Amino acid sequence: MDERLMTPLKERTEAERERGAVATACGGPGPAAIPEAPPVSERTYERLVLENEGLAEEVLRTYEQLNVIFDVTAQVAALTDAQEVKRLLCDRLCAMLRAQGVWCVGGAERDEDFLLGDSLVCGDCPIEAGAHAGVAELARAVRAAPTGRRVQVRTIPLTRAICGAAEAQLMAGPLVDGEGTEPLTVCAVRCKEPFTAGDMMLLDSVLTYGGHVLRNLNLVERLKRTSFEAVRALVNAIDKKDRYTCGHSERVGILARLTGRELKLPAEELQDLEWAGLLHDIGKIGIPEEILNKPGRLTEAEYAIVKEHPQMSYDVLQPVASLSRVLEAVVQHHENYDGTGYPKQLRGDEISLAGRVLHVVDVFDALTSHRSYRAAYDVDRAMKIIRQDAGTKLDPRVVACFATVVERLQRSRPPELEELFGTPVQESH
Amino acid sequence: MATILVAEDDLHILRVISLWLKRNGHEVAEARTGPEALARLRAGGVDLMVTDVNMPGMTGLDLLATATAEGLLPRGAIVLTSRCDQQEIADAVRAQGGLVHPKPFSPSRLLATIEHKLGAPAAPAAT
Repeated sequence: MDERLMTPLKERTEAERERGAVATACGGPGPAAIPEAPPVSERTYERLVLENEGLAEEVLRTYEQLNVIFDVTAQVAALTDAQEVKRLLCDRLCAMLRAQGVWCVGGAERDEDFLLGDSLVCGDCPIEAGAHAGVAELARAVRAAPTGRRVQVRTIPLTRAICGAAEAQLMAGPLVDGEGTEPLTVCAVRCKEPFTAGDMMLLDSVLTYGGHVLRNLNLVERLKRTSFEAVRALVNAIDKKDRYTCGHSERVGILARLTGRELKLPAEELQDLEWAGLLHDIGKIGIPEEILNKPGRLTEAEYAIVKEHPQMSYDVLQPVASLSRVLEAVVQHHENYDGTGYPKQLRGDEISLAGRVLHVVDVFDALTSHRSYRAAYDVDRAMKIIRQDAGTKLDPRVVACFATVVERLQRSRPPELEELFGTPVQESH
Repeated sequence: MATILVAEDDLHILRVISLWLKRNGHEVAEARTGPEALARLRAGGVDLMVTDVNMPGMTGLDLLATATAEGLLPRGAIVLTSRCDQQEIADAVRAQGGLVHPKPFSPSRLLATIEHKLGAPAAPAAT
């Protein structure tokens, strides 16, 4: 065995120096591939040692960066929340910089707001109470820095004001998470050893990469919001057409989501339920206004036309690929559990769970709304009717969950439902 | 101060790991083949091993199995392996009480794992 390979690096290189030879740091693939180097002078040797260490540091830094990028890339597909991405970045930065703390603070207008809202603190070095002004000053300095020198290590007095510890060093840089908005400021605190140029590069590259990820997430979020708002506008147009159902679709959307949550459905299905609720009556756009707004009861022929609206809703939404998951519930929202509904007289499990939820919620909102032929029922009376229909027209399991939701809403409710639950409407028998 | 044996046939990676561990206060022994590493372990005084998988003479997995059977690793071992074959190797390593770190390794994570295995953070090296 080659004894040389077991001696620690320093002793070994010294031994090699005595022999006037230096092993090449980046030798061949196997242990046999250390070529004999020509004799070198003391100065050349020192330079080579420094170069070697510098290269090794570079490799360490690159490995660290690569790992953060692997981590973030692997997890980012599962992370849809910007706050979670920020937490992941800060946690990883804290570990790789061996920092006592990493903070991510928002771009606030007033100094005293700087540690509120989106601020995120990782590690075990809290921001001092009353450090708002210091953090605000830091954020301003980071924002004002020229592009090439965005990461900076801050002066000691400022560090003391922010984190209290006299010996602490503070390094900060911007995290640009959106277009046209003030960047966030990410700062790391380390007490033991000063930050190096390598640490600054590390922070810079993580913040640059993290910024790309966050900007993409925010863009997706904005697109989602825009399409949701467009759908709401369309739904409002339908609700306006039928003066008896003003706000109906919105309420059905909210109540369907709450009922879905009570049924322990996954988040994605809750979103679908809300969209299905918002859109279920969109087919009413094809029903003549004089029928929709007719005072008094409908004739059989008129009722037959009204009964076409679930299929019309389906037809309207069918070309929209992103809404394909809500189509089934929309077309089924008048199917009865006992097979007496329309349009297809489905029964029991033939009706999707979302369809059954939508039906219960739709009936409830219809009962609690004014009609041309009757005033609105109050919540208790509506629930009594719904409970009577459980097992016949309505799925009893859904009714039970919906009843729980209603009971909870009677105690406290979102503002959108204030009108529905807040002021019990007088019954007219 | 703990002594850590680094077994790695790729010289520049061996040097990088060595430098990193020394800088953080650990004594480092180096080996570039499986048999060398085993001989160093048998010579005694090693607390923990960081090993590559593919090495001449003996793989890191065989090395780990032999060393574990002989009770040569009081604080266990960390096996470095490239990301693509991580999954298959992970179970074999865990069965021997070792931990797997992907290559290219994260220096901070490797250090954290080592210090966790050693029970307490080692004192920083004098500069």
